[in-house]
Amino acid sequence: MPTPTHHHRTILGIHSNIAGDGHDLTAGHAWISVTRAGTTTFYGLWPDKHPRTVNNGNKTDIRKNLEAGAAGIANRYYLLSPSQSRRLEAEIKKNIEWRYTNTCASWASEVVLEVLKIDIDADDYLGVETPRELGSSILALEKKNPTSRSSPAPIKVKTQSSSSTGS
Amino acid sequence: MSNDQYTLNDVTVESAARKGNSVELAYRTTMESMFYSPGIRIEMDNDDMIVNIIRCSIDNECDVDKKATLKEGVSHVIVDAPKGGIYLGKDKSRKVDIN
Repeated sequence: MPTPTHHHRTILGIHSNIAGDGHDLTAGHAWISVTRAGTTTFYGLWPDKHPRTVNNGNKTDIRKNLEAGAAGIANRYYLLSPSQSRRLEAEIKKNIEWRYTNTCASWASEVVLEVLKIDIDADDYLGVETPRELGSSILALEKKNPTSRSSPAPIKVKTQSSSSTGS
Repeated sequence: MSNDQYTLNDVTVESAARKGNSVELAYRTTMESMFYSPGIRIEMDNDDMIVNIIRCSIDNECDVDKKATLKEGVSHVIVDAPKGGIYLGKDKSRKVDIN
């Protein structure tokens, strides 16, 4: 598969601002970033009742650019193929509701799974998906194969028989 | 992060601007989708002011001495200017520079 040129490439980032058991289950935040042709936009799942958000009722809880300027302590980046980019755009347009069982970490992990078929684990105790667990999973992947926005993980097209655990 | 206060590692003071007898503090806390900072609690140590940045669950309302106004991710509070300095942390471990 040809690699998109720098001008046209899309990079998906997944981020958490905490990692590890030193934080409580409900602490922190996780989000994604999308760099399209050099411009980065941030997306995160936030509850309507959070003071940082505008309560938009039944509309999506995917909020844009609240994380602009925020630093993740765990960050991972993937270069997307055109078909993966299309899947990502569809994911971002969905109407997703924040719930205690569908948190910022659940959503960020789910987007990567849907787009790349890569499972970056966010499952914590009691089946809750948390930024701290997602952060630990990202750091474990980064330790093996470091990435950055300027040097993302390359495009991998999964064959039907290949597995789909974190890479 | 503790349950009711942000630790110094989780707080960035963006500015502390004197306006007459007041000081406007602008601060950021670590982003959390289940918590927020509704404002600050104040303790006085002689002439010095110790500011505690309060961390509150989105399901609760928490008591504060000065309520924060959130503007583009930055919390703003206005306090009476102390005769001494303004500090963060129980042990006054970080002094706030007032401009």
